[in-house]
Amino acid sequence: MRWIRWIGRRLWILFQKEEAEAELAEEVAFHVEMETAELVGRGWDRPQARREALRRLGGVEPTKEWVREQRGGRLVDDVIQDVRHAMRGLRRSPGFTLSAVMVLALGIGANAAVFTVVNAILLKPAPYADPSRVVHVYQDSDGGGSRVPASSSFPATRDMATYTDMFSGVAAMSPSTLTWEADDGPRQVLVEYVTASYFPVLGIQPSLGRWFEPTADAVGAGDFAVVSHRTWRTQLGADPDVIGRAFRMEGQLVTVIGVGPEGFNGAGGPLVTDFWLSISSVGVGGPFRIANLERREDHWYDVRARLAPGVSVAQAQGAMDTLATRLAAEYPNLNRGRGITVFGAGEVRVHPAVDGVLLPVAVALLGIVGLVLVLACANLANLLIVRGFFRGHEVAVRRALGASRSRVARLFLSESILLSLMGGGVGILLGWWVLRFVPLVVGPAAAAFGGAGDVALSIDRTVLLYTLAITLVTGTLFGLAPALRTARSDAAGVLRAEGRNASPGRRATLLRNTLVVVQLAACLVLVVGASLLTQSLANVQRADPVSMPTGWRTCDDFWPRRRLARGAGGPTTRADGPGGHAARRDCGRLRHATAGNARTEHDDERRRIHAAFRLRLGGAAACLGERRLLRHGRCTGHGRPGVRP
Amino acid sequence: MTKAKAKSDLLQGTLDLLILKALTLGPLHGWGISKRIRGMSRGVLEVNQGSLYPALHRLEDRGFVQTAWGVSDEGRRAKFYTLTSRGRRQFTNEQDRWNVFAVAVRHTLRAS
Repeated sequence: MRWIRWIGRRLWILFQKEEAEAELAEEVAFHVEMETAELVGRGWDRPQARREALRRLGGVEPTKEWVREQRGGRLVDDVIQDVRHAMRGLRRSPGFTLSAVMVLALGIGANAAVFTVVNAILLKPAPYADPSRVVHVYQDSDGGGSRVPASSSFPATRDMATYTDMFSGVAAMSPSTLTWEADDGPRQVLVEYVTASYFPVLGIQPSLGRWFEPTADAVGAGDFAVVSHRTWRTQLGADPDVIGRAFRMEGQLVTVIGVGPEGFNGAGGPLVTDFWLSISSVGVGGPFRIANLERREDHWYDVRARLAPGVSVAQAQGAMDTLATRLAAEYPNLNRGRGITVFGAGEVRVHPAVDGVLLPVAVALLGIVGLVLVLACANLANLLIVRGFFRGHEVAVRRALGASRSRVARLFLSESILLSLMGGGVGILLGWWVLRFVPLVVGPAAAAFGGAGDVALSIDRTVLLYTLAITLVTGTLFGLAPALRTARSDAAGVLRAEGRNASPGRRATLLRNTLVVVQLAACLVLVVGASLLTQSLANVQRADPVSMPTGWRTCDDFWPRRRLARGAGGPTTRADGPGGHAARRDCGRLRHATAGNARTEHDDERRRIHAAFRLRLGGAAACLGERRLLRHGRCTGHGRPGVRP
Repeated sequence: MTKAKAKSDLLQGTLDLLILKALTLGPLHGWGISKRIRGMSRGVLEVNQGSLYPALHRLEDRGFVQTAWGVSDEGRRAKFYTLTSRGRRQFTNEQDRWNVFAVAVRHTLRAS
């Protein structure tokens, strides 16, 4: 309780400063008058009595100053004074200030940018209502090695939904990409085929228009879409008349019935889902997608479910174990040994299989930029120490005039923190500027694999707080050692030495040389460390496909519908669509290999090879995923593997 | 022992004790406190007025006294200081410590 009062009083003094000053003035004036009156009463004449009263008090202004020293708020005044002084000091050496701020801005900006990405993918809470009740449910991947939670077949999601005592709702979704013939030309967009229960399970509402009625799940209900808020804003100019408009996607007309809620970009984290399509969109999805709704062989779906009131994740897991046993008994060929796993909210960020890769990558990236910042700190500390040598005289004079060591150290520290704050400010701007290019980089990479590329990255409060924290740590880190060192220096010695000889003594030179050596060594270590980290990051990207989790897939019929209509079953490079890049050709060749060996069960779908990749991590990873899938035989629409490694 | 001598010899921390003591008799403004201390010490202890106000504000900052504006005996607006319950406890503690100290000093001086 005491500290609350203490803080309260200081705040009061800070904000009521004028009032407190006025009260103090009145109090002192009262005293002087009473003392004067008493002296007059004892026979002094008035002016003399007043002078005596003031003498006894020790003067009005000194008394006030003594009082001010006693009460709180002094610290604040001192800090303001320190900052003013630091600003004066920095203004005196603009070259030093500018270079220091730029070095810091680069270091802090890099950290802010990387953290923004990490925040968007891994940290930001899901923008759902009551997200702690939303769970992820996954059927295991196919056997052959280890089974891991991967994705579910649509009939299985229906089975899950029958557990109404466990789930108040179960939603199935399947991300995919398709071509949207927008007004200004065709564009690859990221879509999610979803059940009507999707928004209700997440507890979100469209911001405009309506969401799918439950009847929209039924095959033949028509092709409807809900556009995401971000796409609506960035691509459609936030047109309020978009509801009811028909867009052409994959050559089919799709009616827009709603706009998603602001801030919800779909299940892909910062990768923006452009449209949600009803699960039964036969026109866009194609007959195969519809057929797949009844096929237990095809695991195309991610499941989000909302726990029924009072139900725990463990209870839901128990129910899913029961279901898995039942499915294994009913469909032994397909489901023997295939478990179903329920992940609680917060246990999954993107996908259980991908999360395991994302986390180390995030840590490695943050580590690299962290080291860059440490390097910046080391450089600046050295700069400050050199600057400290030149300011030895100033410090000596201050010390000689009675400034305590801690006061001098604080002065230097406030200078370095001021510097780091300026660097942090510029750094945030720099980070913001750099982040604007992320979609430009991710976009083409994603488009090369048939994906859209809009990335929603924002510098939010978390990022700002993180940046402020590293800024303050930085300021203290690179300022503390020089501050202490300078403050410790012997004032009299410096002044005497300067009297004889202006150049620093032998010891000072030795120290400086040592510092340079130490710094060089530190730089070397940091550079080696950073390059090692970069290399290991590159290794992560080059990782052997086989080591990728086997469950990572969402099958997608990748041959565009109209190509099939033209009978172009052969996998050629696709130069007609946007983003016909070399990378696509690479994947195309892989598909070609698959196509030659594919044996599918349905004759009418024979030419359709269902390679699978999920466009979540951008191009390279997607290609990896596909290659892996080829090895594991998932690239055929169904049935046995087409290619064996 | 002259007045001047007593004043300069006022031990550090003693002023706080004297102020707290003066306030145990009731709320008073700063000038009144200095007069009250002089009166209670039968004119021996003259509070250095310059250090009185810093001391009062220090005590307020620590929560031993609280202030309120009131009207003095002379009918003037003045800032009155009142002992808080914490201040009262502090006074008791300080008084005990002072007594122990005073007795110890007396014993020391009498030792032969």
